[in-house]
Amino acid sequence: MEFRAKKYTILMNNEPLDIWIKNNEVKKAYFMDKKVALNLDKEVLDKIKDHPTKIVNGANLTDNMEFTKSVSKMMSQQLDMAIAKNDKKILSRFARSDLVPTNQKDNFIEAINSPTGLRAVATKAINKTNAIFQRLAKKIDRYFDKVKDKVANKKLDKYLEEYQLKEFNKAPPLKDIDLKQNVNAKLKDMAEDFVKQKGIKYLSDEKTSSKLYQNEFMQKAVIAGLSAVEAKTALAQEVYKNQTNEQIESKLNEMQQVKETIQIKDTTIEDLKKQLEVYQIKEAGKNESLEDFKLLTKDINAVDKIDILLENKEYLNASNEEKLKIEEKHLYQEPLQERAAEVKEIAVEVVKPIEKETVYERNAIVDFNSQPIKNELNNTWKDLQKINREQQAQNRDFMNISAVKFGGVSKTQLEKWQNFAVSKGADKEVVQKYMDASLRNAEQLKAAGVFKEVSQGEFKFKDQYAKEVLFKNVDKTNEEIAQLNKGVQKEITLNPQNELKERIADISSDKSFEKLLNENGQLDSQKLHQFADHLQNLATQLHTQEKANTVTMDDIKIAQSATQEREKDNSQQQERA
Amino acid sequence: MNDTAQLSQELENTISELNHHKISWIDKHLIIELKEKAILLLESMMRLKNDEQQSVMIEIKEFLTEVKPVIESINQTGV
Repeated sequence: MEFRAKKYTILMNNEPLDIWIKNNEVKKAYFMDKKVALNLDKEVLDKIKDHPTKIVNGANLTDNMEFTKSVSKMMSQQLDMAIAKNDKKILSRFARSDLVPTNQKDNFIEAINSPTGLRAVATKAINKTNAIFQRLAKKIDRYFDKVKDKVANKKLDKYLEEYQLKEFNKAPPLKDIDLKQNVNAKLKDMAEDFVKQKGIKYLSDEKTSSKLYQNEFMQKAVIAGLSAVEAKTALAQEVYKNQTNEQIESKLNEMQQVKETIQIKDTTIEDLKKQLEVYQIKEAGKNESLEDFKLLTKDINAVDKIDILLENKEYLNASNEEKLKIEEKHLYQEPLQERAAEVKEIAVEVVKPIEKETVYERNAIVDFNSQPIKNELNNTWKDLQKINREQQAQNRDFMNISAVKFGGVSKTQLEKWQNFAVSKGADKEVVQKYMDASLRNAEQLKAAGVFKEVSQGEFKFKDQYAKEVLFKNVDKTNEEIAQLNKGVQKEITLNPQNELKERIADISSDKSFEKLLNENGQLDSQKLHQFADHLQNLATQLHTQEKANTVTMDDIKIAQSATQEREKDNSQQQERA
Repeated sequence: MNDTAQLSQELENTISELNHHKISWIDKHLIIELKEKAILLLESMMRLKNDEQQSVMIEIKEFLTEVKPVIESINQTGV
């Protein structure tokens, strides 16, 4: 349990995104110095909090799709609100930044509003596809529940395993198949016709369509009284008939890496359901007065509220000053009781002395998605592979660059490769030695803090920075890599005063903030205590008189349970003393 | 079966074309959302049966039509 929000700055292409985190929740966020609504998941918040300094490079977090999606949506809403208010300062800041398409910079506003631009086309597609999902949900009883259940229980999905891919699942993976072996002549003819008819350009065990094609062909073979497993070989031979072994191997490797990065999870489906509700509200609900808006957005969070606010007539017709007041009241206000409790905490912290601390900064800068880096990685890998093959030994540099190329080390994948290499005539002993050495090296890199073992024999990079360190230092010893992986040493001064001032300003009014300063303009801890009590009393009064805008029953309950917990902690501490 | 394989191939192509790395920050979320929807439809088509599968397949065809201009626009837009 955290008692006060802490500030972190995430740099998004040099534009700061300031967020205040408390109890794994973003309490407040500012982008381009303007308040914004932002939800981030626990995984990202933990990563931000674990960072040794309070300034985090946003590029390090883009592996998390939720982060990329939420931050992009926040920026987009910020831009829409600036357009609604004709806020020239924000609009020109966007236009100057690297956050908008380069070809739109010159005539930014016109380009952003263009009905033929990507933004308009994609928004239109989002609405149309929302309608598609709504139709599905109507037509199919409990569509989302069914999909959610089946997606969540993938491994138990009998329909897929036993019916749709029945034959496919019986055959060995493509990598283990000898494409030079002789197959039945009838199967060969059938495969030729099949590939021509379907226009198949590649085969892969990873892609759904490819699995379905293979299964279909194997079924045909079974009906014709032929072997399904041999049919898979015949089909692969036909598809890859004019290619060398190396080309096939590299194609299969490439396919293995092109697995989708976005996984459909329960939360994805829940998000979509919620979004369809917002879409429905926007489509069907009357959204003219602020009262309409309040009614429509009763149960939704600030991020979704903005989309509806941006279409509210009263808001759109209001002056800029009124618009800001509406945003403050309806989107960003934190419950009073919570704020009061936090002010009390800050009063304790404000008297703490200034500390110095040595930290390691770990900011990743290499973009593994960029083409030049992809080329550099592939070329280094090929060069080292050549050396490894020539030496017939366990070349550690090659193991390291392979780990970077394939995103880690996997015992299962190494075993598959082992079977494949041996079937191609490689020396079993040499291959086995390489495999053992790879796994030993992975263990050592785990000890060096570069890898984490996600399941037995499956090693993944701890983070983007660790991957970058190994990429740049494949030939260094593991001790050197461990040292480099710690990051760049830096001494920082921990001075919470400014952060506390900022937070106080955030959760109190300008007027009450002024009262908290002494004559030198510094925070007065005693006055802070008094202010906190004042806020708490006010909250209780508000609650007992009538249901206030800012304090709900839930807020009171949360604050009460927090107080009880703290009292319990205090009494336990007293008992121990 | 024939239609299922062809449709899933078209969806897979669409999924890889909906590449948010090519898009500037202000628009990434729109593309990610369409990509998530495409993956969800692919998963649904593979797992639902009979009439339910047919309904999803009809909507997938519609989905592909709606998303086509977006992909064209992604390929024309500078990042």
